[in-house]
Amino acid sequence: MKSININRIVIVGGILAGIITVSFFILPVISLLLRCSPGIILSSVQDPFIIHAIILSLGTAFITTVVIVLFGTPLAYIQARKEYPGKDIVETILDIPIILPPAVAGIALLLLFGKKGILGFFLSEIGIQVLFTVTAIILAQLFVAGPLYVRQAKNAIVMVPVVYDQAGRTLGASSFQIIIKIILPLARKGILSGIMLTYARAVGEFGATMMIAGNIPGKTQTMPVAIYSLLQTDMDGAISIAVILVWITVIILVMVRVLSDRRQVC
Amino acid sequence: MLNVRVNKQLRDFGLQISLQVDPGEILVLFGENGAGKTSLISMISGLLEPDGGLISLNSHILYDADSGINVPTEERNIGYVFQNYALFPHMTVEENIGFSLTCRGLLKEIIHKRVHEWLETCNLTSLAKFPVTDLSGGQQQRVALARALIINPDLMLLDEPFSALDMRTREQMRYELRDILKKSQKPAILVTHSIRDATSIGDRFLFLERGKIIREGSIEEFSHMSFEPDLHAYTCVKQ
Repeated sequence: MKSININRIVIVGGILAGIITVSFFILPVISLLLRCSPGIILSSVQDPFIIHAIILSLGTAFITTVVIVLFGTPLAYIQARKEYPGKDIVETILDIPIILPPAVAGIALLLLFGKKGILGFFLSEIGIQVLFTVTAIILAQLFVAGPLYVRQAKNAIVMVPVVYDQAGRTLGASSFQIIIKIILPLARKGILSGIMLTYARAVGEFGATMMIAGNIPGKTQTMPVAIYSLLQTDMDGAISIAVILVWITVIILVMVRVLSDRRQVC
Repeated sequence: MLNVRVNKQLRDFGLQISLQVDPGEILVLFGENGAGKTSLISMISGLLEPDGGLISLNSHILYDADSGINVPTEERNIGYVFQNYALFPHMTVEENIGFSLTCRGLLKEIIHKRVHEWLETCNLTSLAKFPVTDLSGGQQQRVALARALIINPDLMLLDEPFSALDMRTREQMRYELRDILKKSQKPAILVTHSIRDATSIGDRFLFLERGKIIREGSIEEFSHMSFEPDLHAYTCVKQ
């Protein structure tokens, strides 16, 4: 009798804890969506600076994602399939941006690309300005969102059994053919999830972007930076951009969920 | 003809094997799980590098520790049927069978012709467009065989090719496999720990234990050997 009561308490307690936790995450989003009518969003997005911020965020996040897929996929393959000295060190280095506070990432990038920075000095010598440009936005997004993609792509490749590589080799396929014809198609769902998560993270990047690209409306002001900026002058505008960001995130998460459900191919 | 003399320190023991397989001959590597059978054929195929020794196939050196020769797997032209077939799950039956020809950059018409010849040989024509994941164990085995044989290999390696099959299919596939291998006239090595597989398919056997050959002979001799009856013939009683 006593154990039945304890079980009931555990179950009820678990349900309550679950409801409180989920509510904590969903209520802010709901309050945001309730506060903003479609009319307010439509009138806000007619502001040329807000339109620019939306296009800039979506565009730079796209470029960032393309760059990280091109450079990150070979790295993910190496991390997943090859053994080499210092592999764990590389793994740890790739994890640093994930746990580093974005403000710290911003300062680090500022010191690297500033006029007295290791790279910034040489770049300014040849007349290339990085700070407070669109390039700075992309660099900030790459730094913060890139490792997410590499980690996700690596995990997706690890899930493809090595025996398929071996079968490919016995059939005369080169390493490149094995990657293109076997590994990437089999890992594609995990890699696509990684691409979408990386894109979402890049679109939402704020801290590092603010520090190295600044907040110049019509030039380097991205959606998250515009929200921060408009909070003091145009609350409806800030909320409109926030709602658009929420919808982008929701769409991406739904797509990731759909892909994840179909993930087990082998 | 295949000539092998290799040694390799495996996790639990040192493997040291010398063997020879004639054209058209089916050699059975028999022994318990973990005796070194798969390691040996992995070394022959190039998937695993020996510590020392020499492997030659039809007078071509594939591996020679002394002169530092180690021909990559993809250049050895050896057909390999993996234990669970390792068919590419994102491809259809004909895409799997034609994979090696696609990698060699052959013309589509030639690939199509050769794939359909093998589909016919292995009685798979009606399944050509099916995803391999929809096939039964026996059908998958035939696809794996066709995929390995289409490259016209100089040697066939088969690693426990019946392990994924039920008893009835297994019985039927033994004869089909021997028939296909004999028609191809390639030397072949079959890895198994089943007496029935060995006696139904093989011409000659090698009995491996902890990386060493402890007995060898013809399949007739093998048939007359005594085995522990309660261990699915895993253990050979040394005579």
